[in-house]
Amino acid sequence: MSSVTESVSSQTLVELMVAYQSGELEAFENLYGLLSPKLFGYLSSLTWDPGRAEDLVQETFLQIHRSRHTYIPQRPVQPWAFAIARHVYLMDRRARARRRRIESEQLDELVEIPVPSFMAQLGTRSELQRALAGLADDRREAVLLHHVWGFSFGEIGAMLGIRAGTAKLRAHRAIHALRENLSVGTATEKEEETREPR
Amino acid sequence: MSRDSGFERVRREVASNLVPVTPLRSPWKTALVALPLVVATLSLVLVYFGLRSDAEAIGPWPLWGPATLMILAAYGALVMALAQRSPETTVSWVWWTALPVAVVGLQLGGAYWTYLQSQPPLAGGQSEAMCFWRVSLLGLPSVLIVLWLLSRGFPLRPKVAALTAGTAGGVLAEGIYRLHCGLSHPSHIVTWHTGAVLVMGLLGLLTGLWWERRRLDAWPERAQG
Repeated sequence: MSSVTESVSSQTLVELMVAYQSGELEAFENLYGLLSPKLFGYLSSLTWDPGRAEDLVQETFLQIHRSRHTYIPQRPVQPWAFAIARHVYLMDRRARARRRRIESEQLDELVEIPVPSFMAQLGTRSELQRALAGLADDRREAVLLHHVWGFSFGEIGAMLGIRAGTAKLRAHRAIHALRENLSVGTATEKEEETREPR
Repeated sequence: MSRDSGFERVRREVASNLVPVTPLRSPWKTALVALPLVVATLSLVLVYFGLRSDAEAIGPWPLWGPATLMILAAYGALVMALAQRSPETTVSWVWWTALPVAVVGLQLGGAYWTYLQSQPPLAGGQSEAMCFWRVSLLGLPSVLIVLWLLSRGFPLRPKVAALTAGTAGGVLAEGIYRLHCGLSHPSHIVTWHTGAVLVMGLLGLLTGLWWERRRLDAWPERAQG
């Protein structure tokens, strides 16, 4: 893909596109080679994220494939391809926004989990430290900031550069994980205590 | 994912479904689908409903002139709608503004022209509302056909394209039905005739909104990372 010449004539693209419409795979490959660097540059300038731009380039070519019949021969190929790339970018942005909105709504529906009373009793115990250490860094950070230092989720979000809903979700999952780890740990301890000595 | 593996993935998918395709025809040619629609609708109106009762008093020019101009406007609107089947084609805002202005101008201008020749009293109530239903029903097949033609392409703004398609169908039906309707009073025209065209446009708009939502729902998760 790197051997792309910038000075590709628009006539070459038209010929390749027409051949692609008639079912030639080689024409598609050449078209990909000629267009993908330009589309990548364009999508990078929109997303500011090379990884995402690369994904969108691929999605653009899949979309180009699905709508290749909408290219009207003898018209310039690049405006057609760039229009599809822009559409792919906008659709991706809308789909992401919608997904975030749905997640946010789901988070709002989450019930605030009260800190279990046993956590205060276990505060100095090594089980709690071990359980906290077993959490993912981002979850541990969120649960400590909220339940230990008393920050609101809005404040935590501002501190960590994340949305309040994300902070809430992390703390929510951390509490669940702690509860599970501690109950398992306590049950194991009790089991060991009640076991008959040999 | 590296570039090469990405290319391979796309190449595999393309190769699995690489059949020759027929490119879209130019919108000017495709919009000629209006011709049989005009003939069919015109035949229906003339044979089933007949010309307006005061046709002789009005004369041929005020009768046929506005109808012909509205059919031509409908053809222009059809071209505007069908042009959007190809992603890179956009229609300038000058044309978007010109379309409703031309439609309302032709409707009211044509009505006023005939109103100067003959001034039958308003029928009122259900009799006037009949015009609304007839224009809507006459326009419906055109709207459905154009929406189907749009769906064969890849309009990037489906709601705009479908709105134009709906309006075009409405204008086409209205232009022809005006040959039958004997009421030229502006209040009747705006309420029941322009209203029917607007409803056709709204039908197109709703279809376009549904289409956009469906497209977003079907947007692949893989593209969202």
